Amino acid sequence: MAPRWRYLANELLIGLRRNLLMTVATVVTVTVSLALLGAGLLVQRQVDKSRDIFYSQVEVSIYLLDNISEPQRDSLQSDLVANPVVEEVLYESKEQAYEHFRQIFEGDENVLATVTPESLPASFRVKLTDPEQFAVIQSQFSTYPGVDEVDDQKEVLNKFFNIMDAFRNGAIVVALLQLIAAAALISNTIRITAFARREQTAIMKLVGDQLVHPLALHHGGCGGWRRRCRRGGGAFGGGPDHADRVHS
Amino acid sequence: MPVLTFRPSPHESAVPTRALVLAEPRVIRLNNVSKTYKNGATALKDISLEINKGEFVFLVGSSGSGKSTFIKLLLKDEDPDVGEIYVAGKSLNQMKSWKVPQLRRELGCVFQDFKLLENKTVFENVAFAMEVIGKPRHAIDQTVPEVLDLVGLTHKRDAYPHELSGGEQQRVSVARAFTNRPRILLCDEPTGNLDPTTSVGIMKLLDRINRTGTTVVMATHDQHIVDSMRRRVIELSQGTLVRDQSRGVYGYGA
Repeated sequence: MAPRWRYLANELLIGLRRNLLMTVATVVTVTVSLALLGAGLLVQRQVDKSRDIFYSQVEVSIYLLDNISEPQRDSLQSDLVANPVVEEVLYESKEQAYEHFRQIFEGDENVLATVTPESLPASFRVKLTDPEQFAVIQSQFSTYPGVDEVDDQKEVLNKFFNIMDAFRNGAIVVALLQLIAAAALISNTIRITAFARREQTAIMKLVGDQLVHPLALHHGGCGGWRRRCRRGGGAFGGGPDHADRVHS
Repeated sequence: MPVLTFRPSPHESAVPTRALVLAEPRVIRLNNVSKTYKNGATALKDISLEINKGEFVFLVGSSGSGKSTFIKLLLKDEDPDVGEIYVAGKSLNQMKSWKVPQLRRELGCVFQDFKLLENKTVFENVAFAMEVIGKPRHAIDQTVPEVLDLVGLTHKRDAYPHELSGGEQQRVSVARAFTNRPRILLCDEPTGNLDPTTSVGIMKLLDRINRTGTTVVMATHDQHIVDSMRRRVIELSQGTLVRDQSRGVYGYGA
């Protein structure tokens, strides 16, 4: 059986033209939903990746009081180094902190003018083997003599990540809603089309269209019986006797 | 007449071999067929009959006598509750639903309400029957004008159904049913919506088609047509076969 591509393509074009608005609505809805779903997944990936990067660099800062003594500072440092969750310890003096500060706010004279090396605290920058172990460090060192405050940079990052997570969840929820809307639109379009064509479908069934029976698509071939039929027709060509009575 | 090498008696085994089915001249056979609809209405009761190749058969009876059910059973639009039906050498009882299109290609159908596609021209309506079974374009362009010539509508080939009279619409419907050269033409009250003169025109057409060797089964109410044609008449009354006459008339107040 010759494939009916031309016939099918023609019917498809007619169908699209007749239901243009519905088609556009469906295409737009599907596009938006897939775009949102994709955006959500991209945000998710971005968050996971940057979380890894940031967490590997995250540090705990132990700010020291100005009146800390040399021995206190040394014992604090040696205790930090001895702690199993600590990977690396750096001492940042007031001058280094000021230098750091100036680098960050370079060119912003108003901010720089309000800060002197004396107003910034000295600190230990502590890198942890596992950023989740912050609580151990905090409970151990926040009560040390000469320690002002133990500060976890992860807290700042977490706020940022929470916002990103909310974005991602929002995008995925909207995408799912859009997908439901798209499914409803598509099924509705199909139902409208089927209803508009019920007459045509009935006629197609009557003349033996195989498209109405999807399972039968592969089953071609109808030439044989027609040849038989023609031969048979020849044999019967005479016709019955009373045919002319219909004129009366 | 075709060579009849073997013709089994009516008491022959109910399920003949395939070779036998092909050899015999009967294109339609019903064995003890009954059909009751789900709402309890009995449409057909224990019908047994045979229709030979090339016959012209009238199916008469009052409304509700089971004529339309009879036609539907032959189309496998409905299935019988009991009994066996053979059409064009095929057993409909064992037929898988995906083979029904193959069956319908050997049957042409004409109905009282024409069933034409309103948005297609006369030519396209007839071509539709060939398109859906995958005939190539050149075959369609050759056959459809021939068939339109046969039904006398060559000059209306580009008209739409609503521009045609009832008789012309029914001619288009007959052309569509015949264009694939079916073995059997089933007509359910084809003249039911037409005036007597137009009906005679349709009957002449069906008669011409019958002379090409096509078996015609026609359910009708039209006494005048049945009486003037003098063909085989099968009468149903409340689902029962009450008369089967070759060269019969419509009947007595049926």
